[in-house]
Amino acid sequence: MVLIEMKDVSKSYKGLVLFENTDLSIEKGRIYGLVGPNGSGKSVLFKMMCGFVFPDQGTVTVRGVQLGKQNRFPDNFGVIIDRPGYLGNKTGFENLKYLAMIQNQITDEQIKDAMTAVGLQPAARQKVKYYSLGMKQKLALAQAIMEDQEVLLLDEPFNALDIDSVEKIRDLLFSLKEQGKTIVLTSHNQEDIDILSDHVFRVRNYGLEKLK
Amino acid sequence: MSMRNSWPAFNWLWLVPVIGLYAWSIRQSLIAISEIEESSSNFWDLLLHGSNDVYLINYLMFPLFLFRIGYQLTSFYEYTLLIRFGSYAKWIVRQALDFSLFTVSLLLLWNAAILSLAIGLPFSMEWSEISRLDRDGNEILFTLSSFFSSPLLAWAGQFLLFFLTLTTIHLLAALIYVVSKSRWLLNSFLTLMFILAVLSFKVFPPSLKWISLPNYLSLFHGIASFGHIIIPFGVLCTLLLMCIGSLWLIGRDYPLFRTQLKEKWPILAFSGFILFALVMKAVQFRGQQLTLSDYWIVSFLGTTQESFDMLSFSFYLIVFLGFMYFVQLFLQTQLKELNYTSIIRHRSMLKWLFGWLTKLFGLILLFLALLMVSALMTGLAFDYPLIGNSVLFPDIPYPPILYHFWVNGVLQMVFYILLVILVSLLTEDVMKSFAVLLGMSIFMFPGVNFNYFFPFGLNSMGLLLETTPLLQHSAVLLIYTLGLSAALVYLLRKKDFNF
Repeated sequence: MVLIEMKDVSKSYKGLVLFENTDLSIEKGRIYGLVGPNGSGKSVLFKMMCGFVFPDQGTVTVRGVQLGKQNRFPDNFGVIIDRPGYLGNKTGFENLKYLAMIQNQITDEQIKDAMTAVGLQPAARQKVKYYSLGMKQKLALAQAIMEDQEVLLLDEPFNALDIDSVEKIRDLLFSLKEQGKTIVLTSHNQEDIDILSDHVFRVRNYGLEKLK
Repeated sequence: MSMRNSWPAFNWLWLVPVIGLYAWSIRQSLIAISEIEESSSNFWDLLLHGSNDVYLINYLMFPLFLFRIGYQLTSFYEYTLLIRFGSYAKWIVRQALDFSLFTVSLLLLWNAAILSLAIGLPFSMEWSEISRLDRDGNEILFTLSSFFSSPLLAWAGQFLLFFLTLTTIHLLAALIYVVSKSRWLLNSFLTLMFILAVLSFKVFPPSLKWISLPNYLSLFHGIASFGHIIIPFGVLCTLLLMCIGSLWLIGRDYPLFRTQLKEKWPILAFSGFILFALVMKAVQFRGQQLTLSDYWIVSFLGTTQESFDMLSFSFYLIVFLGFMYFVQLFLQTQLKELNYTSIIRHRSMLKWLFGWLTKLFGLILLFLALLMVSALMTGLAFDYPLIGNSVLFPDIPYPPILYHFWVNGVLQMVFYILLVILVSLLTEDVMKSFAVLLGMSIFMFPGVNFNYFFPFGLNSMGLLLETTPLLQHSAVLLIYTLGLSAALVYLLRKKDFNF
C-alpha cells in the first residue's frame, strides 16, 4: 500500500535547483534509506513530504490526500528535521510533555516509556542545555516516536550517538517496522542505511536514483 | 604576605610635597581671611580644612586609595595564599585588616603633611575665631565648629568617616573580586567609584545626597548635606555590617542560585534599569508640584511631534524595545527550536501561531501592569499626591490616562510583536526584525510621523498633552494591526517554512 507519493516534483531553493520532475513512492511498513551529499536536498524532500515546503511543481500525496495550502500537514507523522529542537532550560521529560500536550493523546507513562526506549532516564533533573549532543539526538528520537506515530521521517537519526546507542536505536527502528510503522531516514553512515533499509535512494542529478 | 606590605613604603613620601603645596594654598587663604576679618586662627583650621577639602580628596587621595585597593586585591589573590587561609572569607578579612593599617598610616601621612605647613600657627585645643565666621570660603570650618564642641573631635570624626568609607569600599571590592574572579569587574567597580565621587560632587542634585560619595569622604560635606553628624556614620555602619554579613555567604556553592542568576540576569538588569529610571524621574520632578498622574505621564513620556526629549525617547526605546528583545528570545525558541516538532503536532501554522501568541498577549498585559504599578508605587514613595493642582500640565483626569496607557499600550505592543513575527518569517532571521524595529524608531522624531499616521511610539504618554484625540491613535494602531494580521495569515498559509 502506497503511503506517500511524490509525482513529478520540482523544487528550487533560493535559486538552487534541488529536484526536477522527481517521483517517489513510499509503501507502508517499510524502511527507506536516503543518501546523498550535503546540500543535495534530503531535508527539503522530508519537508515536502510533511508540508513545511511546497513543491514548485508536481504533487505530494499522503494516504491518498494531496498536501497543499488547504491540507498542509499530514496526520500521525513523527519527524526529526535539520536538528534536534528543544527548550534548553527544561528537562528532557518536560520538553516531551510540552510537545505531548499539544495533542494531549498520551500519558506521562507513555512519555517515560519513549525516553527509556531511546536510552534516556525519564526521572533525570538535568536540563537539556546540559545534555550531550547524543542525548539531544535521543530526545529528538523520543519525541518522534512517543505518540506512536505511523510514519517517521528521521533526518540523520544516528548523529552523535555512541556505538551502543546506535545498536539500541537500530533495534528500536526494526521493532517499529515490525509494528507496521513506515520509516524514511537519512544517514551519512552507509552501514546504517545498508542494515536498516528495505529500499535505498540516492539524491543525484536533481532526482532520486534507486540503489536497492 | 608580610605586615610590611600594609605600611606605606618610602615611595609614598612623594605625597608630602604635593599635599604640602595644596596645604600652603589653604594656609594662604586662611591668612587672608584672618587679615580681612581681623580674627585669629590656629593650626586646627589648616588641619581640618586640608582633611575635609573635597578637591584634595576627590582628585588625589581617593583615587590613590582606590588604586591601592585594586593593586592589593589582585596582587595577593593567589591560590597558594588562599589555601593557607582556608576560606575566601578569612582571606578577605586579612586583606581588610592589612588595608586598614595602610589607610591609617596614609591618613597620618596626609595629616602630617598638612601639619608641616602649620608651623607658626598658634597651638590651641579650642575653635579659633576664624572657625566661627559664617562667610564665603569658610564653610568647612564654620560647619564643623557648629556641630562639634572641640576641633579635636571634628578631626577624629573626619578620620573615622574616611576610614570607614575606605574600609567599606575595600570590602565591597573584595567581595566583587572573590565572587566574580574578574579583574575587569573589579577595575570597573573602582573606576565607577571614582566617577561617582567626581560626578556626585559637582553634578548630582542635593536630592541624591544618599548616593553622593563626598558625603561619606568629607565630614563637612556629610553634615552639610544631611544636617546631622550621625547619618553618614549610620549609612556607612549599615553598609559595613551588610558586607561583613555577606562574608558568611562567600565561597559556598549555590548551584541553583548561580544558574538562576545566569539565566535571569538580563531580566533582572532590565527591571533594575526601569526602576532606576523611575526613581531618577521621581527625584527630577520632586518639588515641582506634580500629582501622581503627572508623574506617571512624565515617567513614560516618550516623544510627540511637538516635543522631543532625548532622555524620554531613550527611556521609551529601552522600556518597550527592551521588552521586544525578550519577545524575540521567545520567538527564537518558537521559530528555531520548536518549529517542526511543534507544528507537525498542531497540523496548522495558524493554530501553532495562536498557541504561543496568546501567551505573548498575556505577557504584554503583565508587563504593562508591572510598569503601571512600579510607576505609581515609586510616585507614592516620593510623596507625589494622588490628586492636586498640577503646575506643569493641564489637569488630566485618570480615565484618559488609563485608556491611553492600557488600550493604546496593548495595541502598540501587539503591533510591534506582529511586525517582528512577520519580518522574522519573511527574512527567516529573527534578529533582523529587531533592526527593523530600531530603524522605525525614526518615526518618533519630531515632524517625521505626519499626523501620527504611522504606528510607532503611539503609546507615548506625552500624546495625552496634545490635541490629537486618543481614539485616533487607537484607530491607526488597530488598522495597522489588522493589516499585519492579514499579511501574517497569508504568509503562514502560502510560504515555505524554512527556519
